[in-house]
Amino acid sequence: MSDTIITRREFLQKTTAAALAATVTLPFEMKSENPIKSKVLLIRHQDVIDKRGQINEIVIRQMLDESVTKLLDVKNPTEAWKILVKPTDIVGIKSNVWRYLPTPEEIEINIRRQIINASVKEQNIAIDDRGVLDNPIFQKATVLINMRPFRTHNWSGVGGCIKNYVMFTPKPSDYHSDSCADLGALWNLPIVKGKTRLNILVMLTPQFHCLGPHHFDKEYTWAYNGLLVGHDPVALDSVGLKIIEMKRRLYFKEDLPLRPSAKHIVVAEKKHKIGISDLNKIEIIKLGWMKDALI
Amino acid sequence: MSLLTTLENAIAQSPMHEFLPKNILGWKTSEATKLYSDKEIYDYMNGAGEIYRAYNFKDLLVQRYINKQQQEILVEIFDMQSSEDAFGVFTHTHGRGKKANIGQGSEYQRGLLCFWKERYFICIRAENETPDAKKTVLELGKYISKAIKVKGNKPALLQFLSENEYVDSNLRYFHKYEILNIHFYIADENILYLDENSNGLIVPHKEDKSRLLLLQYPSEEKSTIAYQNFLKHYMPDATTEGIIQTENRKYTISEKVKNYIFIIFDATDQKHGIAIIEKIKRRLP
Repeated sequence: MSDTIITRREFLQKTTAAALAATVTLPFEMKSENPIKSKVLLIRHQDVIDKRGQINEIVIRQMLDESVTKLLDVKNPTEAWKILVKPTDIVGIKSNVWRYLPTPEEIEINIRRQIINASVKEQNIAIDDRGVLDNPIFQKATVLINMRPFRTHNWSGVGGCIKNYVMFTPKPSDYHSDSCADLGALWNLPIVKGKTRLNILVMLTPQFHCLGPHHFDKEYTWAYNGLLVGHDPVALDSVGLKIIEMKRRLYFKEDLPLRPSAKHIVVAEKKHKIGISDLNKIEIIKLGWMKDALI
Repeated sequence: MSLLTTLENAIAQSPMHEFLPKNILGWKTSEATKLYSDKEIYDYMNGAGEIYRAYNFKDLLVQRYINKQQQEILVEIFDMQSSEDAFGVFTHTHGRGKKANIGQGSEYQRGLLCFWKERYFICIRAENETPDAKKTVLELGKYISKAIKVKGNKPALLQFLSENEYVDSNLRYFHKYEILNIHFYIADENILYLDENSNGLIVPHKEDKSRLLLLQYPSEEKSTIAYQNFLKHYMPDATTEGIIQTENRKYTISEKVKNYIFIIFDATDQKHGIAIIEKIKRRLP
């Protein structure tokens, strides 16, 4: 047992202090004195989902192009992708095939197209999820692109960018203990470490509540019409989590905490050092339609 | 014997197989029954399988039904090896829906029916909650409940609770600290030394919403070590052993008796917390 055990009392102390501070200090955005270390881009578009619930291919393409251009601070998406990948790279696009809320094909096609446009050979690109360990492209990949929809999860609190790499271990169950607290360790596996150039957390129709394993109900999703794009998977998950928490507050009309909590996001920063979870240290760049953005 | 034949035999020999109808209200089985044992549950539900393994899960039987419109109802029957654990895993999820009066405890919400009976925990879920699907989910539940002939006992720990004093729909029964921490966070490490051999429940009091944590250890020696560790890490600044006013200005009050530990969190009044523990102690065997 370690010397630095964190008990409920530490949280009570912080909650009490925060409640006091909120009455006398500036709004949240103004309080931080911490330097910004991670950049997350939030892009939304009113028309990306049509009335039938289908994705508008033109709009999603524009969103992806605009987001990488802005994230890399360049003039156009072609220039951005030429920074992200080199012609000699072998690129694995880590997708997610969960039947109720998979990574949309429209996003997969667009990302693949941009990587080909950046002169990466077509035969050196693969899109996969559950077969990544047996996929020769992923086995020798020099670059990974990580993309999946965000949703609540019955054991890890949420399934986001960090958790999407659980297929890179032959034994996912090794990462299950304590509500998947150590999922961040996956990102330090040799097959993955240092290879991820871009993360896309799909927030088109995120799922904000579930009643059990594999549970999906459209009632607990909503058309947020957004994408979170960035280099830091922890920062993306942290921002996504904040949006989900806000949505839960609006829907349930009370603070109904996730059960279990998504502790793996904080642990990914504090223990595994793979990114930043503290919202005070994350710069959120907003693009496009921001009605009911919840953050 | 081929792997497939072995699996088919295992399914056929499972008593759970007998609980399922082939057809019900126009819905019929859409694919072969599947059986997942022990760690195979991860193949079916990844990390969420940990919840069931924390309650001594043995086997899971899965059956899908479809109607003419190709809508789906999924049935999952978990053999938890004991009625206490079937009750326990039910309490892990309950408190979100309405009682359905099926089995020995049940809830229905938005197409999902969960209930327990004897050593089985059952989930029946409609992909889309139409009136027809809802009716079929409930009928399937009644069918399965009827097929499980005997009833099981609830955990003995419940005998310490006075009737009508606690919020039953928020009672959680468990063995491991991972499950306790999901419902009521105590610490980032297992300071109460809980494991598969310990039994615990946590439940809010109706009056002041304080939480009663009741723990039973396999021996007095283990409860003593666990209690000393709890005091050391949770209330090192206590001036009276087992009593502390915490940072939210409420009280945590604890006591160890024999192989039991009783802890009241967030009591608004110190005397009230002590009185709760005294009442529980009088019910000790």
